[in-house]
Amino acid sequence: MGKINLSRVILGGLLAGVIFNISEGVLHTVVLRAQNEELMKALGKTTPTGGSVMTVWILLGFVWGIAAVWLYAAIRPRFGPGAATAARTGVVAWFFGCLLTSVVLTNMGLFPISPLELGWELVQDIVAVVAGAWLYKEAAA
Amino acid sequence: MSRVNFGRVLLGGILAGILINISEYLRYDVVMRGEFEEGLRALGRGLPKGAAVTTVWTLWGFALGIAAVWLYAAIRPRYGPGASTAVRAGLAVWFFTSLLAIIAMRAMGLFSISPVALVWTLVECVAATLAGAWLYRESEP
Repeated sequence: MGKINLSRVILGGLLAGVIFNISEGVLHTVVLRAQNEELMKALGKTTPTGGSVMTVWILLGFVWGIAAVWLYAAIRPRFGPGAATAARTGVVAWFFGCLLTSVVLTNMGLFPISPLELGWELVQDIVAVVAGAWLYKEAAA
Repeated sequence: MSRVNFGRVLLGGILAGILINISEYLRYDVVMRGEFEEGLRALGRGLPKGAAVTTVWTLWGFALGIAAVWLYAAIRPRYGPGASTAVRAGLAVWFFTSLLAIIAMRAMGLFSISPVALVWTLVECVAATLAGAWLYRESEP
């Protein structure tokens, strides 16, 4: 099997990260803003804002994107190149990163499960990985 | 390429899930109990207890274990069978499930980053995936 093309992982990951960051920004600062503020208030907190917090979120988005496209490249020899494998990768990244974390936070009594948030992030993760995978190229073995 | 052997993913995943559940019990109920209680108290919450909570944690551990061994099976054609591929899969699981969540919790101002939790979950994810992968078998193509 061929080796993973790391420069293409980074290129595709940056694109996936851009989509992830835009989508997360819209979700949390527009769509779920009021709900999130209410939930944080119930914990005696306010939603953190400011340059350093935003920087962490944005970097996190890009790191997520790069890791997700690496995951796509890693499972590609098993499932074949293309959108179906990228969509599968998006579901896997969502399962590990969103679904399991949401269950933890709910079981700790901190936040209720939000079907809207979970559904949004499922679509977001699939779209981001499909876009990132579209830039991923590998020399044929 | 050959298909993923789902029977063996389940078998390996259950073993991985047992290890994750033992490890999480030790982490939350023994090693980090004080820190965990204090963190929740600061948010106006108590330590979640009861059969329903324990059931969710247990199912969560098995879901994580099965998904981790599936990931090992998925990346096996890329990296080859064996321990180093299982370690890679465990690292990916830890990255998406623990590292990103711990950083996100910090960015939301809910919990501080705990080096013990980071290292504990890292070892837990890698060891559980290694054990589960040890049971995974696949017929040669």
